[in-house]
Amino acid sequence: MAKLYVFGIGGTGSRVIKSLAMLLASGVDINRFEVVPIIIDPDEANGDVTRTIEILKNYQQIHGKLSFTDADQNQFFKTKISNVNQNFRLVLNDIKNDRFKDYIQYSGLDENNKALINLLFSEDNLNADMEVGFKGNPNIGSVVLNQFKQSDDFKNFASTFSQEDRIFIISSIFGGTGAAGFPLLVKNIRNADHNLSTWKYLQDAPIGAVTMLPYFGVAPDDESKIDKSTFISKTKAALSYYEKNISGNNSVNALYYLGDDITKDYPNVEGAANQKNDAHFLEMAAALSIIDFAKKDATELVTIDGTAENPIYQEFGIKSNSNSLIFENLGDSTQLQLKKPLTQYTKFLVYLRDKIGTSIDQNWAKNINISNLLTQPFYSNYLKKFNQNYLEWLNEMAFNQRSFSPLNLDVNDSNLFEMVKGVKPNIGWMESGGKNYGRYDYLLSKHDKEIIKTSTQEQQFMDLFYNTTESLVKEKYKF
Amino acid sequence: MNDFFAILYEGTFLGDLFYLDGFSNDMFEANAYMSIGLTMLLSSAFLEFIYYYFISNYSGFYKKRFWLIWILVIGIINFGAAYYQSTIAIEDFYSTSTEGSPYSFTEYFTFSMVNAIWAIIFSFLFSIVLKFKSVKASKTPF
Repeated sequence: MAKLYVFGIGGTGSRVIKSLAMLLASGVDINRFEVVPIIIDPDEANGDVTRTIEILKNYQQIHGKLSFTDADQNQFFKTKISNVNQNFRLVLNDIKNDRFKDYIQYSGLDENNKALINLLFSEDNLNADMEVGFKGNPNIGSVVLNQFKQSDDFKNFASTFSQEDRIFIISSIFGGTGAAGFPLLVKNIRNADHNLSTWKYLQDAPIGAVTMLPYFGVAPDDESKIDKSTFISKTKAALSYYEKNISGNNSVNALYYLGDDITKDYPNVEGAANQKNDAHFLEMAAALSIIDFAKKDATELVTIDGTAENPIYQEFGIKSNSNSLIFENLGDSTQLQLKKPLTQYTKFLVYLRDKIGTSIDQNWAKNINISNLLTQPFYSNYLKKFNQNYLEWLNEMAFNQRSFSPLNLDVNDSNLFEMVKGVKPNIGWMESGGKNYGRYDYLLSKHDKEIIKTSTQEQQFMDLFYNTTESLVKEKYKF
Repeated sequence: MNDFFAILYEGTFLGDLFYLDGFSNDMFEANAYMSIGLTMLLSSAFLEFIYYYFISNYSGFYKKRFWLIWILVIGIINFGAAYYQSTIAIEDFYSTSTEGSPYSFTEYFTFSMVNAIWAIIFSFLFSIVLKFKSVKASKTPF
């Protein structure tokens, strides 16, 4: 199976990878690629990064218990997510507990070089503690991140890369780590060390990238080094640099631009555990760009001697403008891609959240031995935790700006099918099993007869819920 | 068919366990066994069908205790049907007699109880056949 290496640079990179994991869990297809996330963030304790790592690990545990042969019906968690490095991170050497001036050995420089450094970096820059990232300073990031090649984790990635594999890079353009890291990463991949047996594959690898233009702000804070009023000027400067060094020299095969003028100010946190920004619709749109890239035909992504033949540049648009988006506001192809899997997985999730505890005496539950499954780590540790994160993800997108709130999550046994906003569910006057969870239980019992009883308990459970939720979304919403 | 139901209602294979002196003969002669027996069989089959393919699909009605209640309901219905039909049949049978029917409540009650027991037994047998295709009650009663 070919691999898609997804580099997530900085906090935004981590959050986009989180969105990707959520989409893959819901069954969104990524053209049979195995996804290998690699998070690049010098801020080890970053809340966004640790949350994403936890989600990826839970995903792996769930996927590992399931099989995906043609006989298996379940498509939730279908895509394999693997890692080449510990905790999905690419660790940069020698930056921990370092001030920038120590990192560049400022005190050992002669007077002329000190003068040059003083010209390029402010006093604040030189004294910046890099343990929490580059605090929106790409000039620091571009120096520090230039050591990618020396990193053992980068070498691990490079040595496992093969001819059919692809690379995708996620970065924001208005911060520090992402803006600096993206062009450097591309440069280091295209100019891979010739001592590596895979250097030619890397040089000509199909590389896609999404660069996030400003889509959120930060609250004003005199104590913080991060100031949202600089976002636009930083974006312009970075775009101007990319014009020559990314798009100008055909470095990448596909480049996606995303941004929004409706924004929300997040708390002004320079990094570490408190930097835990809410999920945002644009991060999900960025995850869709990864899927779009994975689905592109190899003939569209030809690279010769490190130069992309016909680079593709794409933006993302919505069909109708609104501060709070639902499925109907999205373009037709995006709707087609998202409506069914997101609704289906959310249906699965709400049953586990609200109903499973009282269903253990139903025949389908007895057949799977659900009371035992609920105590197994597969459910009690991994799936339950993943679903909490999934719900959190949906809620955060709903309360962000611009809001993405296509699903009503406060459903219960009186309005279960009024879940998809803007879509009137088809409800017959006399449905077998009754209304709401009665109908859901009826379909679970019906599909229980189709399940291969020789499969593992976890497989039967997921097959049953996948088939049932698929029937429900088709019946109620015609998705 | 009257002969077949006479075996059931008189308990022939159980040493005439349910045979009621005079009453059983008159019921046979009046050809009443057939109509009561057919009512018992068809109503049991129909009501079991309703249970397995309709009622059990809703809420918690697939559970054993509701199945048991339903079987008892079938028994009660058939008790009532047998009591009513046997009364009519015997009254018809003795309609030309000046003394009228010689039987008391005991004969009708006993016969109706026998009919209810057969209704419960046949309902149980129909359950075993019908449950396999039921969506929610495929394991009811076991």
